[in-house]
Amino acid sequence: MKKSFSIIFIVILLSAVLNGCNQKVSSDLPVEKDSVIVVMGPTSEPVAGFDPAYGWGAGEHVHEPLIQSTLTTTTRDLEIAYDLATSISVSEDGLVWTVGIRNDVYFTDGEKLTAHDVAFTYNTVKSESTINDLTMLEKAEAVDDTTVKFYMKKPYSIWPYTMAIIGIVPEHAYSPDYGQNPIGSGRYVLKQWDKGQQIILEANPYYYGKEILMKKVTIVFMDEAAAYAAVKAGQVDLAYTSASYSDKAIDGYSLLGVETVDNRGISLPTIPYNGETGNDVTCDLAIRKAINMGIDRQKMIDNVLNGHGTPAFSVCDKMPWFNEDTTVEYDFDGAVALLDEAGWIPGDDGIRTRNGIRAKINIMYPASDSVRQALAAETANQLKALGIEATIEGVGWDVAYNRAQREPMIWGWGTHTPLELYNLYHTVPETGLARYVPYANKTVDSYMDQALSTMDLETSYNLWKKAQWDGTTGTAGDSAWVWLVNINHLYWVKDNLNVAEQKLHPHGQGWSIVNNVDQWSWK
Amino acid sequence: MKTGMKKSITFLAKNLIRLVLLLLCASILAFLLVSLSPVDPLQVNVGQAALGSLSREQIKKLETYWGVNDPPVKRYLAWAKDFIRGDMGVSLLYRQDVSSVIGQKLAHSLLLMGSAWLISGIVGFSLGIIAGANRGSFIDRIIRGYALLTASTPAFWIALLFLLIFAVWFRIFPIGLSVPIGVEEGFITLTDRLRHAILPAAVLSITGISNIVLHTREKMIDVMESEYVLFALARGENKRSVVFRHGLRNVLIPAITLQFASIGEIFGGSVLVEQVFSYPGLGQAAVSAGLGGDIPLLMGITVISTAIVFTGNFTANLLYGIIDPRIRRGAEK
Amino acid sequence: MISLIHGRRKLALALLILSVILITVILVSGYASMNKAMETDFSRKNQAPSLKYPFGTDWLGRDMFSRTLAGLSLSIRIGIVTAAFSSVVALILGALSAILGKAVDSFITWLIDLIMGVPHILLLILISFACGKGFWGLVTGIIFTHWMSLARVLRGEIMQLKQSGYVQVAQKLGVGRLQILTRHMLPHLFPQFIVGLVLLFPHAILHEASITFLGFGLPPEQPAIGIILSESMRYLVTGSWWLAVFPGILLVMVVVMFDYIGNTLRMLLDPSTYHE
Repeated sequence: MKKSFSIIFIVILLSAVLNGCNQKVSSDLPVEKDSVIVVMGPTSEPVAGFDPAYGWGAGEHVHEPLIQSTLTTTTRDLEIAYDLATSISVSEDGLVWTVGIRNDVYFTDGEKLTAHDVAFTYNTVKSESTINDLTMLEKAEAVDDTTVKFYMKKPYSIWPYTMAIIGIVPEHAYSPDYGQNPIGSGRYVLKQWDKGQQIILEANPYYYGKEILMKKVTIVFMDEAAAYAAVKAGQVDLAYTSASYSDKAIDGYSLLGVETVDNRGISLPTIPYNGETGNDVTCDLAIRKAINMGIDRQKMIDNVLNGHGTPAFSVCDKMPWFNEDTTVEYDFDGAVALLDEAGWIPGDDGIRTRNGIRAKINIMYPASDSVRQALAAETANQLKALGIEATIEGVGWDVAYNRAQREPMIWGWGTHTPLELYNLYHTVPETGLARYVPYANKTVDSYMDQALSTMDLETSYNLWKKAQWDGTTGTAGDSAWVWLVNINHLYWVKDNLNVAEQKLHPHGQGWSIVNNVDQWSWK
Repeated sequence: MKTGMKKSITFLAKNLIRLVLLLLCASILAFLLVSLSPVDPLQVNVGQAALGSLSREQIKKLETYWGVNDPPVKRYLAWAKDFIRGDMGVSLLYRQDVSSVIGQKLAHSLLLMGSAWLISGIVGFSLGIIAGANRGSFIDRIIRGYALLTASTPAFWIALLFLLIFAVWFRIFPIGLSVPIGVEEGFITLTDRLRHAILPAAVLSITGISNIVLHTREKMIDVMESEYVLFALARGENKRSVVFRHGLRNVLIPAITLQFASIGEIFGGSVLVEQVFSYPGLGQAAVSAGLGGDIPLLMGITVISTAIVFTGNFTANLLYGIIDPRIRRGAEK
Repeated sequence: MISLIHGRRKLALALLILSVILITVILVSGYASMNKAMETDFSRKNQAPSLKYPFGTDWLGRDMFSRTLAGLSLSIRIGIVTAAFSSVVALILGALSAILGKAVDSFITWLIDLIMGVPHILLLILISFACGKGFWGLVTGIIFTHWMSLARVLRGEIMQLKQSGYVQVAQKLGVGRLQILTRHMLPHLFPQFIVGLVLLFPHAILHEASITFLGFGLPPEQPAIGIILSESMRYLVTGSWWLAVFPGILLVMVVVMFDYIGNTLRMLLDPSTYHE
């Protein structure tokens, strides 16, 4: 009896397996020529839903919120263009922005989009959200159906950049659950959301703008290895990937590298250790400068990124507000001379010491990020040649912020607004030091304050540049952050898929690639 | 008859109460552990990632539940009160009700754990019988060696090997997830779901087998050495029929009992296997919750999975207690 | 017949010594290779096994052979330490349970049921979380989730010993309970204890590997077997099969050897409980 039992069982199992293999599996369905399947990493899934108040489009990683429309957009060269807005003007004192709204836009439920929805959106985001810092906004007010006024608390010249990422939600259809079933006026409608697995978007038939070429977009969330496997199996059309998965060619696909302002850099505390913050080695300017000068960035790019990257000398390379004078030539001998001069004498094991302090640092990196781990390892290797001993340590985000006040850490930054310079280098009132690493420079502070309150964008750009280096001092001179590389965002693209031209990607390889998915097409 | 039934009912009631009490204590233990943690759930989720996706109201709630505002006892009671009403709180990572997250994941896990449980039970039992009935033979040694080997091998490594062989080299099975890519809800067939569950289920069955094989084998050996069997064999009865008629019956119940008690192990194995296959089940959610400091979800999963395991043990005890005396009485006849 | 058993014993003993030597070699050489295991060199990354690098290299260019040895050594050290502490806890709680009377016994038995009821890995995750997800969480977790079965066994043994003649006599003579325990019972418990202790090693090692595989306990640059295997998962698709196969095989070997040592010890020291 037991024998027949086992036989029956094996037969059932086999037939299920064979059946599964032979039967036309749903992934064999014919591919429509105006649909595309895109793979993103699991962290790109907007867990809180498609709600601008909770990070959709605006948040740590900025991108166009495809389901909703925005007032402005950024062009390929990161200039401002109009989307919902028809006119933008600002008062003399910079405290009131007046924006005219199109009157021919409808939400997908048929209701007209008016300035009331715009005001509602901004006021809601301001009060509900904790990541979208709209504290500079006093309130938004709809003057009539097609005009909205933004009352600012202080002058804020880069307001149009903020307007480019906040999607407009319908006042009449908004609730705390909005994110699960969003109604918008953007290019796409949310058709289906399998939490943790995929999102299906369909073109909005009532869209007011340019014709949408790609009618159906499926976004699948997979980790890198699974994404790579899916590409090898030909199951997807475009997948994100990284340097480690990009050295072998794949049949039917080509590697697309998009230039980015997504940079990686190392933070270096600038004050001596006081029991809580500071670091006795990196507080020496010579050490920080030597690190900045003595690291061969190109070698790092070749080794770690397989060539897919560009050297970075600031958090905003290639942006209109980048000060080109701050680029640094790789100068190993110069770095060594600097250290020698500063009194860091190499010992028998090659590691320098000064006044009994050993040139030893512990470079932290986020434990979940393998590229940063590799960068940390490569940095440690290169520093060894300079006579600085470096160990690496993976840490979790729950302790990273605290420990970064004392130990160097590899971070990733880079976005389309100069506000980031402010966030990283400006002192905060509570401590008198910058937020992420102990650093203070009054001159830098004042340049940046001026830049924010200057209404003319061009003039403000110059002020941001001065903050980086004005001839005598600046963030580049202080080297509290040593910027290493801008990584390219890599994607495997199916051979006959035409991906529309990309603007510079900001930090975070996620939704940026599909900013213009409506303009993609199949050859 | 009446006293017999009364005895069974008291036995049942006693064990049921025990189950509830243990569950309560397990939740207290879990709460104690998460409260001890230096991990600040707000910090973890604030990070260079998503605090932005929490409303101020939710942050307040977080702070009251898990902050240092109230004494632990008060916080536990508040959590327990909500839990009994069915409100397990809101998951920090998934931003949904913990109950719905667990609901989704549980469905996937049950398919996986259920099939692995059945397969390892049936196959393990069969192998144990064969080994026990043919003690010392070549096949016995092979089966024993196999059981020993699987007990010494980490489940996740077997999963890795399977992934390597079947999904990477031979491309027979998909590399992960539980549904195929880019397919709309209505088009996903049962076959699709099965295909994605086969590799994880196979691995889970293999790793869960060792215990039941060895245990069944031992019981079978005891049976084979019992007077009844020796007498029957001496009488010239066919070994196979003796094994079937007498051996099976006596070994079946202990084996089933052991199977129910092994539910805990299967859950543990599923945590590892789901991780390798990116299978969105309860185990994988537990790992994400632990790594991500998602306390509400972690508490919810602990209670639910402990309930499942306790129920398994409870059933095992029940079987042992209720059916065992009958067997004894039956043998005496 | 006797000579056959005797010959078997000799063989078993020889294999036992061999296993112990092998494990010690791994332990020591792994510890010595710690630095080498962490060295990265991008010019030699992702190489298949060769004469120079018998286990190949990984994505950071680390020599997998030294990294595997170092990882095993770490796992063995953690395994031995946690198993040792765990057995001591088992001894203490088992003894207390058996000699301090019904109340304590019920409490401890009930505690054992409670801890065994929560799924093992989940409990490890909880404890690791409670201790901040670091190294000590790992160690604490393994220590406090492995003592239960040995405690039960020792408790049973002590309860049996309580009934034996000389213990009864000693009690009548007024000898203190603690003295009875240490002078009369412990020597008899020794074989069970040692066997239980050694048999805990493989469990501890497997669980340490599992929990570091999931991402708890140690940061990714450390050479721990669980970490090595979880990293290998990412690169299997690119064809780097050696990252998973060799470390895994060696881990299984170490576990099997410990199991063998434990079971042989049991056969030698306590033949009555040894089943063929």
